Amino acid sequence: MALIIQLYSNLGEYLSFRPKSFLKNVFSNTTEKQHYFGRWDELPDGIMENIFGRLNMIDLVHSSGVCKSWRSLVMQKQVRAAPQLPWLVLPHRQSCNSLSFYSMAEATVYNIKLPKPAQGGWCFGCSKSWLMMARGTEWEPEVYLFNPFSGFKLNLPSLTTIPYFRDYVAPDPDRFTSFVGKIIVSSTDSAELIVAVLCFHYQVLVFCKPGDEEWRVWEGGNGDEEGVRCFDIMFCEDGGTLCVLVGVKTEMEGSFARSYTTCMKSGNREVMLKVIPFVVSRNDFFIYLEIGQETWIVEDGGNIFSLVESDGELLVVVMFSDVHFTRFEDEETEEETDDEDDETEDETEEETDEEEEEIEEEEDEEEVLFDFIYLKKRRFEVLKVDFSGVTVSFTRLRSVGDKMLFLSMGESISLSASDFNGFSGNLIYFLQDIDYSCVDHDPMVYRESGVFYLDDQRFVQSFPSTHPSQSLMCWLTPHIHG
Amino acid sequence: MSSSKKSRIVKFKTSDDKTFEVEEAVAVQFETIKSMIDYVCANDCTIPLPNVNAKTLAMVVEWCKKHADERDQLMEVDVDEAPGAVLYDLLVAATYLRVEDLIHRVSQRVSKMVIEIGKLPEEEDVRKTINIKSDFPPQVEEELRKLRRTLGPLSDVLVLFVSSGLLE
Repeated sequence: MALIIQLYSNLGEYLSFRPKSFLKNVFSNTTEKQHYFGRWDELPDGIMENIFGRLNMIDLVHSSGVCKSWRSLVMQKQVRAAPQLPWLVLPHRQSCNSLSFYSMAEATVYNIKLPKPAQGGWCFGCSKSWLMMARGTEWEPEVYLFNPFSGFKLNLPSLTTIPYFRDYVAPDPDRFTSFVGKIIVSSTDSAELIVAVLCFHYQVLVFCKPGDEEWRVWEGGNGDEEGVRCFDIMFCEDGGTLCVLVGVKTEMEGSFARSYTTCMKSGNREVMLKVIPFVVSRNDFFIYLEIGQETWIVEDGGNIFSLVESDGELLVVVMFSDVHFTRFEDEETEEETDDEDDETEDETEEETDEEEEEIEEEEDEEEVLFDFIYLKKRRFEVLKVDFSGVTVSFTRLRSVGDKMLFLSMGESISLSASDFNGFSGNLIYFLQDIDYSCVDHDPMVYRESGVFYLDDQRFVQSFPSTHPSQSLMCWLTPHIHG
Repeated sequence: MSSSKKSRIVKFKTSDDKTFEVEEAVAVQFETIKSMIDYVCANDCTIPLPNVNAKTLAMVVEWCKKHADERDQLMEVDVDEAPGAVLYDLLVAATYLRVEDLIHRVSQRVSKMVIEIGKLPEEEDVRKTINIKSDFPPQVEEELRKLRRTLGPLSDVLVLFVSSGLLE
């Protein structure tokens, strides 16, 4: 019966007698009873998810504008995006209303306008898909996480709840932008993420959940403790455990070289903490200077350590930097010195002239320390952390295979070059992440960002230089959920 | 249990009522029926495949043969050139029979088509590759078109798509 209807419906064709098409129609009619021709939205569960799971976040967002079923697929949280190259958050000034990102995969700059509630901020850094931003006055900055893709904004407790904050900004309110050194989040999911921050020159580790009233300080990580300093923090891929790389001075090796797990508890919040000691030479802590020189260089004086998880291995990437000091005088310095002289005079009215001279001399000596400092990168080393022994050991890796490591003041990322067309592995993309805020004279320009090739130990300066009045660059991984 | 593993034949009946004889070496690659091969061969049963038509089964069998024999080079080219409808059938069949390599290969190909469509959602020709139509209300479709035109590729547009609830 169905066949007859089909024949009649094609009567025109039938009458014109084109046997080929006629036969084709008869056949297709009989063979396609069970044939879901092209009903892509009716595929069994899991098939389209599997296909969409191969798209990166940008392509997912694009395809959400195609039809309803694709949109609902993209909006489902279980669709995981394929690995994607992070976006570079480009430098911006304070109180910005939009942010610019550079996508290496597409070689394109994207401008994203901030929604009203997030406008006028400054970005401290980022982790996963979250930017940590602040706005308002330096005395009471409003701090929040912002995902530029989903438009979600999560309020964080005020920085003033961290005991050291007010002391830090007291000498110079502009310094509030550099109070936060390193920020990481445990998850992209806004419902469960925990924020951990190394602040106050990496000396204080604090954490919170969005919506908390105050930051919780990890007392064990207090920088006041002689000889211990946090180098880096990282949430393990499971999202639960926070790894803390702690620098330990050589002479304290015996007591500190074991890694241990502890629970960071404050109120009803708790985070598992894995403390990894890293024995360093004196230079990694303090820089001792010869007085009276105009310029000098301290080799490997400013080394920077980054934790990266790569293929289930924990790596420490060490960026060896030389510290360049230059003493120079300009009018500003002299004025400042004059002011201080006045104050000194006020305070030491009763003291004799001789004593005054001594004090002045001492101050001059201290000035030298802060005249001009610049950290210049020299080389990178990648170390694999090995927990199998009694003490933690670090093995130097000559190569990281096809991995590309992305380092910044936010989260460090490891990706396989084979997942991306046109990219090669065994290299490190690094960004300027040195905090010059405690220095009297900012460098005119920061230009220590680029690519380091582990193969031939070569640097390529492929990122823009930034200006001290701008925020530093960081890596953001686009994600539309949470 | 049959001891002669040499050239047993597994019989299938496709959705279009055709009987298909497949060598065991190929049939074991169908995860779904792998465990029943012994029983089926011993009792001379025919396995019904209500989701797979003869043409598609022939392609799947071809794929499995090539894969086993020649490490798949030839067939990959064929799949790449197959139009969306064929890919659709292959995907359904491969999923039903659980031929993982084929699922992977076809999904990869389809994902490329999805990306192309996402980039040019207004091009009917591009949409036709896998025959997907927009079912947004006309006013939403008009709004999307306007946004894409005024704001250019990605940038603010897609952030709006996602965050504004425009399409909800």
